[in-house]
Amino acid sequence: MVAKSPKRPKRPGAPEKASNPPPPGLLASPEEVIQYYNAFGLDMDPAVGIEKIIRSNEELTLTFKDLGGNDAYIKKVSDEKFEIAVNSNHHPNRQKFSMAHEYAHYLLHRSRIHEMPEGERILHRNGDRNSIEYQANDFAAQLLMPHDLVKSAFRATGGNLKGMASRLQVSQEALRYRLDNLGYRIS
Amino acid sequence: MTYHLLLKTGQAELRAWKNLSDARKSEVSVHVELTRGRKRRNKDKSAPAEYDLDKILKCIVDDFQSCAECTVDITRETSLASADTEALSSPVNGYQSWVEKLKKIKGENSNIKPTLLINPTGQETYEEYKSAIFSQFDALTDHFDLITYRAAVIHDASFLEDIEMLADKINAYIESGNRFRVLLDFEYVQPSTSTLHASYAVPIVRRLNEMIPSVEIVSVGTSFPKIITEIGDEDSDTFALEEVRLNAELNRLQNIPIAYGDYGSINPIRSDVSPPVGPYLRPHVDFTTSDGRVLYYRIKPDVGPATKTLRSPRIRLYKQAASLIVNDSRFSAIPDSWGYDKIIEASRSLPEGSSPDFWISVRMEIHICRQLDRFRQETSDAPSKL
Repeated sequence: MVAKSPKRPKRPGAPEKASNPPPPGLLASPEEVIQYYNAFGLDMDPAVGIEKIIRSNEELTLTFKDLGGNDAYIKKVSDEKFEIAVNSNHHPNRQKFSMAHEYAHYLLHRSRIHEMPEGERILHRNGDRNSIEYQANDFAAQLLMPHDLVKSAFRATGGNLKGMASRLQVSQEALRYRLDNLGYRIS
Repeated sequence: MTYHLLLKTGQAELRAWKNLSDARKSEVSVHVELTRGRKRRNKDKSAPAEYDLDKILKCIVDDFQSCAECTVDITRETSLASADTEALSSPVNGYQSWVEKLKKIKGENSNIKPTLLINPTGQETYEEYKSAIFSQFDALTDHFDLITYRAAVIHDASFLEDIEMLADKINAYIESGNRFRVLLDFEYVQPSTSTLHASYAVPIVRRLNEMIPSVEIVSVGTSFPKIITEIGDEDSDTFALEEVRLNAELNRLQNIPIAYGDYGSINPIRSDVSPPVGPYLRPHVDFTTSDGRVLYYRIKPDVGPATKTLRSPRIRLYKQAASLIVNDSRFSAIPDSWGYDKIIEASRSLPEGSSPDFWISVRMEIHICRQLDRFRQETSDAPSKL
């Protein structure tokens, strides 16, 4: 079929052209994010480097703070600048999911960031599929646990939940939620 | 100024088009994207799905006679493609199937214009690739006075290489009194990203213009999301038409005029390829306001907890949503609009349609009317050059 991005054969003798990727703020799906940063040589195996993704984005700053009972927030600081803060007291794997959740807000809900509270609890089982929190969780789960990485983690650990979570650098709760969505039966 | 509409050949889109008045149709340049069409009925449920492309082609011949132009293209969305669309886009013998089909339908509708297809197999050499595209271009120039190239701006940074390869041919074609158009397709434009999109596209526009000084450039895109609550509240909200802002921004940042086009308020991933609707679907009625925003109302269905069925028919939920829209101060009259009339009718008596598909048609027809009215207004507001 006609592709959006056809694979053109290279003209013999043509010099290598520097690619001109679109601004990272226009990425619209977890697959696009992974593809984009893969092309820049960011290592995505065995775990997706969300912290590096955020730190390499000029529109974003990442801070670690004591947020009390909250996990994280995203805040608009100027027209094209946003701050992502995560709770410095949490386990690194939980922080990763929080970062991915706020990063999802940045890509999916850019126009609504100014109305978001400065601090939120991220609940993995947010029932309303239409809510922006559900959408951000879903995006974060797909970004940190793409199906192929989940499969290889499954193979490498024999399906051991703790081992898989450790390999993917996510919490067991987040992994359980993702496995459930992918149709895996979890004992 | 002409309004450019990218129209996928789904049932909802074709219904919206059929119900647009002839006077309005004549002001629209349509870029029809052939999609797979409806599944043919087959009693053997295990048989591979077959789609009726001929029916769509007949519709293009019959229903697109009175628009300003009708450029025909093939979908780039995997979920909307079929074996027929694939066969039609084959690069074999210089895209012969495509060229022959275009010539045939032009014989039945002189309004038809072609899109230049770029569909390498991935196996050919550069010379084979180039030769197939050159053959297609040459064959099209023999029969058509306007050729369009559609570029997925964000996904296909390499499209300028095609233009570079064809530049001499294109310039000669234009010098002979013909037109060449590049459709910059931005697809789904997320809220508040018009500046990002435009800043990225400006160097592309400049490069295009350097290679083809008389090229016509059109931006198309849509801000209508796949799920409305991605960008708005649960029950009611408004959101800006980011595609309009994007076009304005493109024209503000540089001097090469970029014509306006859009998807007619349809998300690139069409709703009819999503899973079938269940009882929990929240019917919504959408309305493009006169100040360039989309206003919507959604109604939560009352589903019996035990039976998991709707306690009152969905049609009543649409009536309720239509009544809320009509009573909103941002609702205003649109003369000569079928969609507007359907909302008024629904608010007063039972709606004509109870399917999401029907209300997508209503939204789309209203959106097209609004864009045409905006164009008319801007033209009359523009200072006279005399």
